[in-house]
Amino acid sequence: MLRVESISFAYGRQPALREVSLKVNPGEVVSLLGMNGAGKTTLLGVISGLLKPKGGRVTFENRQISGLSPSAIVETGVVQVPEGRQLFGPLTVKENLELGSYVRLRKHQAKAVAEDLMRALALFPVLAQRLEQPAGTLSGGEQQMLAMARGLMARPRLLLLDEPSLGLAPQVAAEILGVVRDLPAQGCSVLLVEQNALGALSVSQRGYIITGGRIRQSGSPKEILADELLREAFLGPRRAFGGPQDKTPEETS
Amino acid sequence: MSAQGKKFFGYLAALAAVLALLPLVVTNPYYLNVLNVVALNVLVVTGLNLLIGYAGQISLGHAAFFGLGAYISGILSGSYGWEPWTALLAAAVVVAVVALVIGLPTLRLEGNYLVMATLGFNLIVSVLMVQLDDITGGPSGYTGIPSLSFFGAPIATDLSFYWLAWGAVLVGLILARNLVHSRVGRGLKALHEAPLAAAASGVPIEAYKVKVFVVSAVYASVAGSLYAHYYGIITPATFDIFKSVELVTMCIVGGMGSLWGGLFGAALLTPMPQLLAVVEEYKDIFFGGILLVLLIFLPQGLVGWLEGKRVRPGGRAF
Repeated sequence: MLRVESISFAYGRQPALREVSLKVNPGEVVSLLGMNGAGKTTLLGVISGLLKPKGGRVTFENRQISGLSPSAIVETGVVQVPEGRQLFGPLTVKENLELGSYVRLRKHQAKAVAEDLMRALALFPVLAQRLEQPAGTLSGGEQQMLAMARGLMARPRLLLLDEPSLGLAPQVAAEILGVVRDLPAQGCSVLLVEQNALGALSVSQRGYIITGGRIRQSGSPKEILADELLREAFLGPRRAFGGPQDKTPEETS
Repeated sequence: MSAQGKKFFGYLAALAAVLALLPLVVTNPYYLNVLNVVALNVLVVTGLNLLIGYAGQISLGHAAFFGLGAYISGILSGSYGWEPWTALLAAAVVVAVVALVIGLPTLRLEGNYLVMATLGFNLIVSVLMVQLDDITGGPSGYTGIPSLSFFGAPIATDLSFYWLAWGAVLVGLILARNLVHSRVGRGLKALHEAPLAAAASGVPIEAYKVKVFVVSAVYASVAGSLYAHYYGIITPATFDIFKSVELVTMCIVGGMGSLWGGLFGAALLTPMPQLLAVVEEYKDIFFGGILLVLLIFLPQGLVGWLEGKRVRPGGRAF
């Protein structure tokens, strides 16, 4: 579905990504884990066209998307939910959601957009009670839900989620990650960037660990967690995590 | 029509009614002249507000577009015998192309860099207006610009120009309102609030920045052309960087992100230098001071203050 092949990127002379390759298959949630400055957000920026790579290519459903504009990439079905929610604060919840379907409104799909609005509200019922409220007045958890719902309004086949649980209470983070786990069943694969590594792995089929702009490890959650060195370096001691969202799929079952 | 639309057109009808009755009260040519200058400033500031208030891009170079509209229209009709209306349209097209060429590289810049780039553009245009004296008349200005006409009748009096200028304002407000409430307008709101999220939602932010820059430049150009054909003489000093500061001040005083903000800002600030002698002498200090005070104490502008809430770009009823 998504193939990232040997992508390199630099901020000026400072390399941020070095020959990064990864893939996301249909129906998968794939985690991209790493510490601050590892290159996770930069990679999402490259995939969504916000940043232009120095080398390599990105293909989605066998079509090269690297080099396309961000709006053209959204039209192919790849949508990013940026870090920090990035809501249109003074606009209402409804206006934010409608802006999520911006590309589709151009194609006169108003009826389909209205249906998607209902679907997004069914996924995040709390937003239905806040439709006319300015987005900036929502709680942190509600804002993250709105950011995800706005991303889904573009009817993506691949959602790029950047730190969706950042700064949220554990219970809210678990709720968000629960929605992420269910997205493939609705035809939307996910590339999930997280620092909450165990939480992310608990909803993922596969994962990658990135550090210093390079992919260092990949595999199933079990394989990633089995590497003690990487586990210590990137995930921290196991005992530090205790919430339900911090269990791997194997532990959950 | 939506409730917001009804409200907008209700206010517009009220404004049109006031404008229709005003000449019955204001018969003194001097005051009519002041009203005409207000109208031209409203037109420029309405376009500028689309750029600053809705798209969140600051320009300190709009006096240059105002001046280019004036000089191109004036020279084409004065030196080359073009029909004034054709010259006005030609000026708008040329200014649109200039704005496109300027906008493509400069709108990649952000914040202070964009301000400096547009300021630099204004300085260059001002220098050209002075230095190309064979064409522009140099520092003393360009004279002999013919009046516009309406079905053969020249629009040469203050009253006849009053109808033209304020008619242009009403049309300009309607066009701006349509833009703000279109799909592009939604994109501009998103761009203003969170550019990264707007791009991630598929809003072509770079293209929209350039487009709204061009549209706002065309507003300034049309106002400049009307100015040239109204006065019959234009000088470079009218279109210098201080004029750009004035225009931005009017935009901020009225209220960024409100279509009525331009009207309020221009209506309040335009007459002051002409009505108060002390202000006339220290006009630039006055506008700079107003800008400072407003940004500190009333950043939402007059319209936002009157409504008692923060101005939302494009989100208000009008």
